Amino acid sequence: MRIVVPGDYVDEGFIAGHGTYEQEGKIYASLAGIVHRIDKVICVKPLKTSFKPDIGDVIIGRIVAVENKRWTVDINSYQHGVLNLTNINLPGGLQRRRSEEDKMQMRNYFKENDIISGEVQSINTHDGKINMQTRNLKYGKLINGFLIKVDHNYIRRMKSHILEFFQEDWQPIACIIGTNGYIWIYTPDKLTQNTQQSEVKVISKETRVKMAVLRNSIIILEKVQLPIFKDTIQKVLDSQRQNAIEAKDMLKSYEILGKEAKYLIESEINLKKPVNLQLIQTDINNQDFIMN
Amino acid sequence: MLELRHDNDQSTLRMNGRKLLELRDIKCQLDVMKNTSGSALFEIGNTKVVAFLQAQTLGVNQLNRGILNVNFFVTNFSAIEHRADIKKDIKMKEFTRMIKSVFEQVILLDLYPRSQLDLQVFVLEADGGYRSAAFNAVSLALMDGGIAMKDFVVATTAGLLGNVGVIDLIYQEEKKQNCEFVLVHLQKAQKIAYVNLNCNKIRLSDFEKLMSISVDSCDKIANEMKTAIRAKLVKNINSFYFK
Repeated sequence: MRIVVPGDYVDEGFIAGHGTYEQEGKIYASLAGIVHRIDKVICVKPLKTSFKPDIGDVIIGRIVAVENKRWTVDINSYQHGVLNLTNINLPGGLQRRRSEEDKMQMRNYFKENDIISGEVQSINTHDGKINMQTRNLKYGKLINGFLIKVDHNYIRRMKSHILEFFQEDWQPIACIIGTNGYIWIYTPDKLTQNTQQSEVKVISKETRVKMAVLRNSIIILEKVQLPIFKDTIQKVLDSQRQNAIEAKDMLKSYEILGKEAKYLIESEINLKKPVNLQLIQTDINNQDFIMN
Repeated sequence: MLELRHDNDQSTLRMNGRKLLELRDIKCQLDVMKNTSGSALFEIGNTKVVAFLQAQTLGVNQLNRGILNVNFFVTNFSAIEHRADIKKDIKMKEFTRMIKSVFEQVILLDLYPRSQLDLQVFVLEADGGYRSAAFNAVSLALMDGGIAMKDFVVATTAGLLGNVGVIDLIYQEEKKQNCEFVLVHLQKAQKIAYVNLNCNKIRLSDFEKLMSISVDSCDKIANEMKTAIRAKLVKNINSFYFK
């Protein structure tokens, strides 16, 4: 494994992939990251990347602007997403043509700074425009909760992006994990399965603490560099309960709480790890560490 | 200040106890700001420059390539004398344009159609050489943000104290000397991207001297910057395995 910076010589005789460029038959790096080779394609993986959506991804975004027949949504990607008026679920669940009246009252559906969940419908191959849709009862405007932002690299594509925790309690806490790194934590209704809620509820202190616990456990997972999905979050929540650490003290003792989750996926990391990490760590202080 | 008795005597000490071709302590920090695409803090001695990048703007319709915007600002608490109001003078505007033109050559803007890269550069503390520090900070911020670049950009300042060429001047030295020299170097291409020489008269031999010593010091600064990036990557190496 090699670490390169822009302009470093990478290799010869391969196909230049992402993060590289070709000059006079030689391949050079254009990003700071690690060199990654898949068969004949050589590429450089950077540490931070902007989120690249795929069709069908569940994403969470914030409305930036209301435009003519469409909304623009901040989705933590290389561009703002676009949500057309034709791609939303009209109240009442009616399937009808969007009339001029709907256009007039677009702000009644979503207005600026509203947080919505949706799905990627299509991505324009020419200019990369991201079209969204919320044509499902699962998606729509989000209320009665809060948003946290994490690095999207820690989030995988899962079967279900709506996870429920504290299910044995009378008030479970759920979160929608957007593939783009935005996570919405909210209090679901037990009776209706809809994520969409029509009115603002009064949330008790107990519930708020539980929401904070869930929030902190997700932050901890990001801190200890572990993927965020149902099992790892549950592991952190379990160890929080065992150690009886309060919500406010969770982030201080993140190492203890993240330990269990680390064991869970340690085997997975070791499989993917190509070389001994310890070796590189000692090399970093060594002047002879070869970059080129 | 100790007198500079002999030309090119490498053991002569300068105002703050440095040798002629000795750099001040360099500290590079990546990812210093939240809610940005990439950010970096570059410190050399007491000079501190922070740069951050915001790259997730809705695209501009024109062109098939991205647009780079630079905003360079010297904060009014940065210098020794607190200035209540700093206007954007012509010099500053010209320098902003310089940063833009250098990085427009280097960034592969074709890869970012319909998008806009907004760079904000703030000089937090100015103790000489904040121009070159700005280039380095921008370079780090772009690398942190994962923006594709053809080359590694490094910059340095040099000057003449009497007849002697010195690098990385502090504020007092900058005032005393008679020329101001900023050089931006491309590490891979081994080319000079930008030179700024601000003086009345200079001998050609002196100019060549300045060029050579600043290219050498660019290599040293580049090494420091690369170490910082490497350390950052190794620290977060686990995140590579979950994609």
